[in-house]
Amino acid sequence: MGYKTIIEDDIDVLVAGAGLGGTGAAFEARYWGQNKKIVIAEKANIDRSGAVAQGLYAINCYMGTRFGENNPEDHVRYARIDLMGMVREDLAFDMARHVDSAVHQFEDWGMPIMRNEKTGAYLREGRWQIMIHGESYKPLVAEAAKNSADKVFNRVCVTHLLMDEAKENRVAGAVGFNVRTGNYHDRVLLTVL
Amino acid sequence: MPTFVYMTRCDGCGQCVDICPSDIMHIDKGLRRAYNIEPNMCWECYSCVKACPHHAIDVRGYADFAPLGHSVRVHRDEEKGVIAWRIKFRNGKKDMDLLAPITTKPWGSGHPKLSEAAAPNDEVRKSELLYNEPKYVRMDDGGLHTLESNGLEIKEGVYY
Ligand code: SF4
Ligand code: SF4
Repeated sequence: MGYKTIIEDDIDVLVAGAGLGGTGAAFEARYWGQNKKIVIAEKANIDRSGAVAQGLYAINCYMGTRFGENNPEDHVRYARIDLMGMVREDLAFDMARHVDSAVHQFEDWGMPIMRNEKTGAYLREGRWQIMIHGESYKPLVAEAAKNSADKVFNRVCVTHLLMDEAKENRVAGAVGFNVRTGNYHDRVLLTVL
Repeated sequence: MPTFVYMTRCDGCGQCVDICPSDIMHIDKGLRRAYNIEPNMCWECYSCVKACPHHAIDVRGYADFAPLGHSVRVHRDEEKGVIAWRIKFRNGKKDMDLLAPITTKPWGSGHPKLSEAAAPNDEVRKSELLYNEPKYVRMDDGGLHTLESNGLEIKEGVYY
């Protein structure tokens, strides 16, 4: 059987795997690199791929700093105890201080978040969890990614990263195949932001 | 338990094939109807059920909590911004109509067009802020927490 090789050149940002994280990254990448070429490769269909494909009725990490609930350092303390000290605290802190912003953005995009009618704060089902109507959590974020990416390759599974010969420890591209046709995709990632 | 297709309702449009994360909804070439080629790899994620314009796909629930004869039907409507479920028990004791919003805005209208937005300037690029921060961090007073602003420093080793 003959397989076609498809080459996509001059990619600035390649998102390899677009679950919630990848689709969000494609959106954010468009802000930082407005004239960059952003390409997504995902082994399913980005509208319903990854762990949130079927919908999720909670956001499991929200500080609620604006409602006076938790501060990022509280979350670091929680993660540290929960994981018996085995955490990268700098990463946990960084994630925690930006996560509220992501949630507020989702609300702006149309995500229905349940609120306490009296206080206006988001309804909680746990210290870190908030309650949402999340059937379309993934499609909503995928919509943002589709607006942002130059090209979306659905059903393409990235298998290997290609290292840059000229520069040590730098990824210069990736290869993958189409899970349906077997076509080998060879896309070259030229610059990393 | 996996999905199955009511052959008489399916018109072979392929929406389910397009969306299935497991890539197991295929079109039978002879019958030109969809079917689940790999029932034991089905997530029961309902993506195909929601995507089917003819409601031709159904999911058989696990026998321990949903004996044969029950029914779970769903209709997702982006225009109206809602998802409607109808859940019926076999013994007729429960028949529930559940309605939930899927969006608070006309579908897709809430997303900013980043390619038309102002590009970040050098000062923003050097900062620790992400898109639309600090506004989006707190929305009230706009500060991004740092280790210093919280009076913290990173210590080495394991401590509580
Ligand atoms: S329920 Fe999900 S995994 Fe199963 S056939 Fe439908 S889309 Fe595929
Ligand atoms: S989406 Fe529905 S009508 Fe279309 S092919 Fe699949 S089962 Fe048939």
